[in-house]
Amino acid sequence: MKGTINKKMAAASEANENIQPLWQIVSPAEYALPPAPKREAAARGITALWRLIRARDLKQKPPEKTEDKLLAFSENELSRLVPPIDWHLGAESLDAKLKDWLGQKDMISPIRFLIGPPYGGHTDILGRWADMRRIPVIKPPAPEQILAQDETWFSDWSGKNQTWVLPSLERCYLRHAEGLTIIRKFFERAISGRLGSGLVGCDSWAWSFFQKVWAAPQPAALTLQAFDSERLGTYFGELTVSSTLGPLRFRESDSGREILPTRGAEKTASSETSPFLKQLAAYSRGILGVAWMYWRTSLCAIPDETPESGSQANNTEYSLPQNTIWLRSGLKELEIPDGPHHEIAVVLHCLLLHNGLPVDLLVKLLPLSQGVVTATLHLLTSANLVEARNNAWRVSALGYPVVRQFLKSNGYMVDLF
Amino acid sequence: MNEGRDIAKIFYDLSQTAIINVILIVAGALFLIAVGQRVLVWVANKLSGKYRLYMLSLVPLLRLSIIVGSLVLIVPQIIEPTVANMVALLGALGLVLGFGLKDYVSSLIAGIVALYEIPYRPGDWIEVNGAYGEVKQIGMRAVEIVTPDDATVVIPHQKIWDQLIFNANDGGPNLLCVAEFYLKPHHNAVRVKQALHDVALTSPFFQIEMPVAVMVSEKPWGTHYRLKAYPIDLRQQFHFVTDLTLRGKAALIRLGVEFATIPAIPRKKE
Repeated sequence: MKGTINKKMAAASEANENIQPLWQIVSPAEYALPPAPKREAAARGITALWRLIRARDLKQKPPEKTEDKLLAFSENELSRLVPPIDWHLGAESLDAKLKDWLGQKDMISPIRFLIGPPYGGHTDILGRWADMRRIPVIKPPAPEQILAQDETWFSDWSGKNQTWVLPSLERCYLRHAEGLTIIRKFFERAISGRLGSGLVGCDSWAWSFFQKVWAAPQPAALTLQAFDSERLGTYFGELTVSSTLGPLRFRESDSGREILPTRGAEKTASSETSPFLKQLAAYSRGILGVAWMYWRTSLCAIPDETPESGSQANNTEYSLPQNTIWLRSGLKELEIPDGPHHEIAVVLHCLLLHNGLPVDLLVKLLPLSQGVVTATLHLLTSANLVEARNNAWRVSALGYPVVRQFLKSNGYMVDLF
Repeated sequence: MNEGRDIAKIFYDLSQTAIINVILIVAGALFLIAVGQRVLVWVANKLSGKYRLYMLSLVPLLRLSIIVGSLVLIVPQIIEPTVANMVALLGALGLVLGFGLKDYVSSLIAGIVALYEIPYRPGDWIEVNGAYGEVKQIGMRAVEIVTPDDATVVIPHQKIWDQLIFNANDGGPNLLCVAEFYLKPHHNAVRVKQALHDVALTSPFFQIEMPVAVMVSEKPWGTHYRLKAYPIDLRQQFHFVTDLTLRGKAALIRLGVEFATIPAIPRKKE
């Protein structure tokens, strides 16, 4: 009897060991992209063929909920259903990873880098980590300082004997003939140890460009592991559990299949696992910010649906009493608009290399007039590929996978992730 | 006279059906060539980079395959395809074409050799006899290129026998561009070299994954800089060189470097 219990415990322990942590900091070489959609498509094709051979489930089911019945949630409801990403857990994972490094008296490598793709949260994680550790944060130089090659920025380090954090290295350069001096000097001083020990965050696109700017070997870098379908399932599942909305079920609008593993609820005929999360993980390239935005925009409700649970009926808005949330099936990919191909590509590439720029700097960096840049940005805005925030234009989270693919297929340098 | 009659004997008495068959095969081949060519070029223009070049290079191969296939179908329609008959027919044809259409046939043969040796493909940027442009079409007799000034130049394939063919990208997606700068000799060459290097590195046309080189040579009139880099898209090469030149000049002016100029020499009064 005792032997059986031990065996069970060992099996449970082994199972726990196999579960990957939700937030995991790894080296860029260990970054595992979720399987590409092609493989998913092939697997789906084989499954469909197998079903045909088995001659079961041959009849295509009608959509569970037709598109015209689905209504989008209001911003208020969405923020309750999908709250902003809390990067604190990422910061804790980073802290655990850096424990040995921080404990070293004579650091062999005084600088560590945290690299992340756009919407991968490297700036937020470092911000949270700096708060946790009460470590000073270095602000990037102003664009005017960068172009003037003004080295007074380095005076921010004077008198700092403790570890520091520079969350956005991509803000410390401009792709301009005069815009590389400061970043070169930063690498030179930081790697030689003249700036003391510090943790530097950098966008993956700028990081790829820096490999050309600073040809010497880069010190060890870290990154947040990609969110595969399992991680995404856990993440969105935990959001549901931690919300005050009660138990929620997420189902695909056309097939009615469950998207998240059902917790404690009875399994119905339609509780077959949906491939939505796999598609989402592959399409978002494992970037949590991108997946989060797709998840958020896919949620929809049916206003006249009878509440299955009346417990929250009195204190919620019209669609939240229901405990089933529907997700529009299939990821609706954005498209690159018809227009001046070259102008679109250079504007998008420039935005990604700098992780966002205001119009005046775009005009300074590109061989395009202000009118052309503005017209191109408006064209891209109408296609939801870029958005303006805090006076800076940035490739949107929803548009990022399409933009990356577009630039790659046109021969532009892309990031590692 | 007897020989002429013998050669005539190798042909069938062409029936109406055989003539119609030959006409249909020729028409079908022409139709397939036209459609295939249009489709491949259309698809190629939807692509970019190396995929565009791969697709364009299929055009002449498709045409050759269709021509060979149609010949294989036509010959049995008009002659009895025995070895003796074929030797006699080809011998007679060789004699006629060798005297009458020597250059034309030379170009046709060179066209077949060009398909095998591939000195140029559609999408390549080539220079032959001072004409530089993008290969748009490879015909059986000649290759058509379009120059940067949008002029079409038809170059017979026979040029490959005795002319130098300069192929800038040779079927690949990379093509080296050079921007030239001529400076007065008194300046800090190391700073100028670094500034020009950064000019290339920061050009939005530059293929970041390729190297940049700045070559410096001293001349009697000053210093000659050659900034060498690769554009992302071959079709952007002239914009790229323009961008390098404009921004290179701006960077050099900021460094306070003076440009070398040829002094004006007044004409002697007669």
